[in-house]
Amino acid sequence: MIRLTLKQEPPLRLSAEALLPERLAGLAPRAVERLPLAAGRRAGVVGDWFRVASARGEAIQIEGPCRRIDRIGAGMTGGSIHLHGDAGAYLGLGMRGGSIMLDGSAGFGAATDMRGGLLRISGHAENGVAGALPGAAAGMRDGVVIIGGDAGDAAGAKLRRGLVIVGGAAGAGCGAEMIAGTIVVGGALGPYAGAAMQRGSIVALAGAGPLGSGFADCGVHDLVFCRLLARHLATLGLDGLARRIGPLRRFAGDAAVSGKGELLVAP
Amino acid sequence: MKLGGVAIDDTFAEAFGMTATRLVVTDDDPVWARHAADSMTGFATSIIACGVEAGVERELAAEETPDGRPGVAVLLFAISADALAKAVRDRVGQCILTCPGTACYAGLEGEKRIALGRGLRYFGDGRQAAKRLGGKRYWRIPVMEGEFLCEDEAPIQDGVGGGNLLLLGRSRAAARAAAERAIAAMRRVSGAIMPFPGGIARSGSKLGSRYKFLIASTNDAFCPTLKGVVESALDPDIASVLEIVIDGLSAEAVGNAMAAGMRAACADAGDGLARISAGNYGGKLGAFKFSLRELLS
Repeated sequence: MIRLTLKQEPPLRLSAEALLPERLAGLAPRAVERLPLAAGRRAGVVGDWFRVASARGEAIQIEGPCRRIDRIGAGMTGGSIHLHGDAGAYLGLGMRGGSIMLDGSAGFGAATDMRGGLLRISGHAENGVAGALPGAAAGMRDGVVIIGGDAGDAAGAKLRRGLVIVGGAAGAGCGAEMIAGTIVVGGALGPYAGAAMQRGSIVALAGAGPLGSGFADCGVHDLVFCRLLARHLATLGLDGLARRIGPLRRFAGDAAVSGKGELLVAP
Repeated sequence: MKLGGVAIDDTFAEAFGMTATRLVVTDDDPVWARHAADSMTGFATSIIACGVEAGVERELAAEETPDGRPGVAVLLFAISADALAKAVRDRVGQCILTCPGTACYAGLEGEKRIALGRGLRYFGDGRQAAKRLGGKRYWRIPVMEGEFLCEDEAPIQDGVGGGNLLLLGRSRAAARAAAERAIAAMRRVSGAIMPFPGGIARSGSKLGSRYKFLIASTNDAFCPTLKGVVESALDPDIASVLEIVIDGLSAEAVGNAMAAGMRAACADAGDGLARISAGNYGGKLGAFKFSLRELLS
């Protein structure tokens, strides 16, 4: 495939929507260098910012850090991107398939409006991961997001379907206005978790602080669903989290809306 | 042709196409998984009156099941996808959902599917919840014991029903002993079930009867008490005949089970088992023909 190595950190933000596996497949490095890559309002090409070379393997390799490069993998439908170094905002925005592996941390809004595929972030994710576009009724609609570190505020807000896994802590409003789907949090769960959630599950394996008054304690249960979830996490290489899933206390809510969601909290 | 001193008739079993599915029932305790599976496969010997033919395929170790608990694989066969869907809905609803600790999963892969948990979820009276994991959809249905988890759909496939063996013994005891040996071996064949009690039927039937309301009646040619009054298929020394009916997910599975059954029945048969034969309709009705001698060759 193709290896792109950032020559220097850009002075302003770049939007890397052109660097999709399906667009780069079969292109020679020189052709990739000529693809448009705007820097702010200034027109430019990929070669202005990246050294492009052929590489082994199927994945697009991007050598960063790409903190100022936004929308990497936006709308991708297949193939894979392996990103070494931090990513900018909206990593995997609206992606429908394929996989993005990030060795680093992601900026605001990773996996926003995601429709399918796998996004794996080894480090942290800033606010709005797996969330919704501004004004949208629903956020992530399918796929799997795995964050090795912490997630910022509003992780999985308006989640419609899919699985979001946060290995570390999650900030305020995790799963707020959730419609369905599943969020697993290995670390501390911030305040306002599941606020106004309609359905769906938030699994808090390190316990949770005070919950909103719209959640009712339904007791501790050893659910078969949790066994399935643990097995699924193990298939994703998350054995450590999988082993921590056992009997959990179920809080049903948020009664402020339909009240058919749940927080499953380690007792 | 003889096998272990037992005559193998130069005939064939005639079998039919069916629609099949495999379900996996799990529980914390394998005893209760078995209770559920036995209940679900009860009164499922023949589609003539039961609507479905079903049986336990095998018991599953914890590492073989989706939720890591011990389980049982069950095969169900019906004449059509609609008939199978109705039987699955009714039997899972009455026998698996009701049984303490169980969960129910699809045991096949494929595009053609019938409803499984999707049809049962309404029992949750609006408190049911759908979950999707690994591309599969499940229903969590609250019940008094806790929660019943059931996969949304079950793939179906073409199957084969009506493979059979007729074991002709010189005594009732000898025929039953041979059938028991056969069943023990046949149960080790993957993808096949023997749906009758203990896998064995004593009342093999022929098509039609002298009564208008009865579509099948006793196979008088193989009834030892009628040897002197009908055109009998039995030799003078035959005192009892037992039938083993086999349904399988493939013709290969049915053939393998039949071959295993014949070999086991003939092993250590002494002089109790005289012949092995098979039921057919002259080859005009069924899509599958299993020659006894070819299966043993």
